[in-house]
Amino acid sequence: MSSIIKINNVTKRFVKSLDKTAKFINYLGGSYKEEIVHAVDNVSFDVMSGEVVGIVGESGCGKSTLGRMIAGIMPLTQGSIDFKDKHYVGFVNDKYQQDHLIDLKIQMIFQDPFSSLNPRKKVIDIISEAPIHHQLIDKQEKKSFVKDMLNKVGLNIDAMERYPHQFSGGQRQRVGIARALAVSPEVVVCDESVAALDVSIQAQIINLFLDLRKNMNLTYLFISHDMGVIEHIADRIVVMYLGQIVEISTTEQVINQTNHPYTKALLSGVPTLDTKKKIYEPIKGEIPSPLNPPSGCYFHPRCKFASDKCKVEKPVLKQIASNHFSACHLND
Amino acid sequence: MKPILEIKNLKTYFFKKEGAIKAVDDISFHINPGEIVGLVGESGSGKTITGFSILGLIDSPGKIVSGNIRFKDMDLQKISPQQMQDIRGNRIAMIFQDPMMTLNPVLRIQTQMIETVKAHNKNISDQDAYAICRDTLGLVGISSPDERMKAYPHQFSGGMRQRVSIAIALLNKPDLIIADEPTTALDVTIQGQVIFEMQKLCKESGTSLLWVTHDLAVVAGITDRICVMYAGRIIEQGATDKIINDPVHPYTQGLIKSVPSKNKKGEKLHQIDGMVPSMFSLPKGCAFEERCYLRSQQCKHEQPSETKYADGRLFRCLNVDANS
Repeated sequence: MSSIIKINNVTKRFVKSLDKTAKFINYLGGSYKEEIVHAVDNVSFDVMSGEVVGIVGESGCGKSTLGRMIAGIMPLTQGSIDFKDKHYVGFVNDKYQQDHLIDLKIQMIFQDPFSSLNPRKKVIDIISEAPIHHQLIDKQEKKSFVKDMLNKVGLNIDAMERYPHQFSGGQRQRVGIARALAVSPEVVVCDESVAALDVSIQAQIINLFLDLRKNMNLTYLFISHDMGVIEHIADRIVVMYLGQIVEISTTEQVINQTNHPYTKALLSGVPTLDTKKKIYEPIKGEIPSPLNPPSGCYFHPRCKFASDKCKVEKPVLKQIASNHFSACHLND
Repeated sequence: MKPILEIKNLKTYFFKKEGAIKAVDDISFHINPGEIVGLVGESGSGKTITGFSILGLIDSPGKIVSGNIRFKDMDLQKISPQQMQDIRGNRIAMIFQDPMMTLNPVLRIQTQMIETVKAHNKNISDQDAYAICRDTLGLVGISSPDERMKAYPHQFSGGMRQRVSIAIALLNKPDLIIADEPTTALDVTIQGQVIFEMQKLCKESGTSLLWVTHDLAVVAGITDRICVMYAGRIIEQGATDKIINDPVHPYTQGLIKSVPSKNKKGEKLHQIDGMVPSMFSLPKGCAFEERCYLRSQQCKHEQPSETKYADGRLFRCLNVDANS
């Protein structure tokens, strides 16, 4: 299997620049500093063709930022992303470049089906806008094309002439999926795409994702905070914490031979359908602010195995078994 | 044991131009002292309105049409607004889903907490009220409570803010806490912490807890009993292990089967087809009829009544044999 997307040392920094007062005070000898958030910090991994890669982590770990950069809707600060061995976003000779032809091949499905669709447009226009703009279909074909797409995502044909507010959450998410698939992408980035849905609807949409993958030969990047969902559909799992990858491996290995203490904490924190009175043993503390991350290993203030080394030295992602990488000093 | 809260045939309707919305339609359940009960349902099933009805928080055009809510020896519908005020936040407390919306952003935590204590105990001195608040804050796992008392809500993270609202609910040592999706807005590791804290506090103080949520997995591990709601009705209620391991109602069965961990990895999930019917146009018969695999002609016309199953739990379905 060849890799379809290669993510090379991607970094995203958000800088809050100084306001005029602070600049003026600095001019007079003050020492205001710009605030920098390392949303994604030097992340690299490959996505194979036809694979489902799950990206998990808690809020603020940079998983959505990473997804947005891969989908090409947010520029990188450093690094590059290749699509089928072709540079598609990144820096060449220190100049930022983006190949908009490849943009179409990577589409995104968003979390909130309520705010991601234009409320003033009919479904037929929402779905056909991009393919017509990019001249993938003729204007005359519009109707039959949209009919086809609606069929694929399991919506009725009379949905065509309706507006987004006339649908329920699950149906709206189906419209969002149809819109993403309309330009026949090869990779789909799903950013928490089932998180806002009810339990019984969530199962329907996950099944739709599984069907579409088979029928259209799609590669998914599935971003979620829900270990249960990820475990079910992902082939490989990337675990992120504060902008960095802490563990990456096949789903079986991450679940059964969990290495990193953070992954363990994530897995044990998930409530299961187990009726034995579970005594939760939560990990201590809060997720640190990315504005001011701890020294050494970012997880050390919450980790029960933390040693002195963890406080000083940042662990690097190391191979610990075939296809299993983890960033923890315990493996040394 | 006498239940601390007993609800009988409660009906809360909302009267709109388009007609009456039966948000809560003929539900009955009870909570015993020290018990944790889960109220589970999808959005729009009426679980939050049930919580609001108990506390008398239903506003026009909503109205409690009929039914009985007994708290200890009081009928909550017959008492005066002043008496209700004394119960609300004192004997029965509520925790809401979004801690950002429930805390006042322009007041310090201590102002909001002391206010709650003083509202129900006029004679307490400022120092005593402060001490109670500080101790409760420490109880829910907030470190250095003295400093944190002076902070504003925006200085807390989401999980911390939820702890503050739990602390406020606990201030007057209530007999019953209604927690409406208290962990839904939180991250997984923080959710674990909050569940742990609530479990511990209820056990130590003997407080009863009504845990309202859409997530079966959360309530499976902590509750004694579960009520499952669908379209304004409780369609199944009983002991947690029986409902989770051996559900009888087709809807409960479908819900439990559709949880990813109950399915083989990578294969299609079990799904309940269709969607929740609109509350404006509920069918005459069983609301679940359209999505049900057990449906019969009878279901279209007849509303199933609450039936006792062999092991004592209650369910509403015409096609499940009560004696099997």
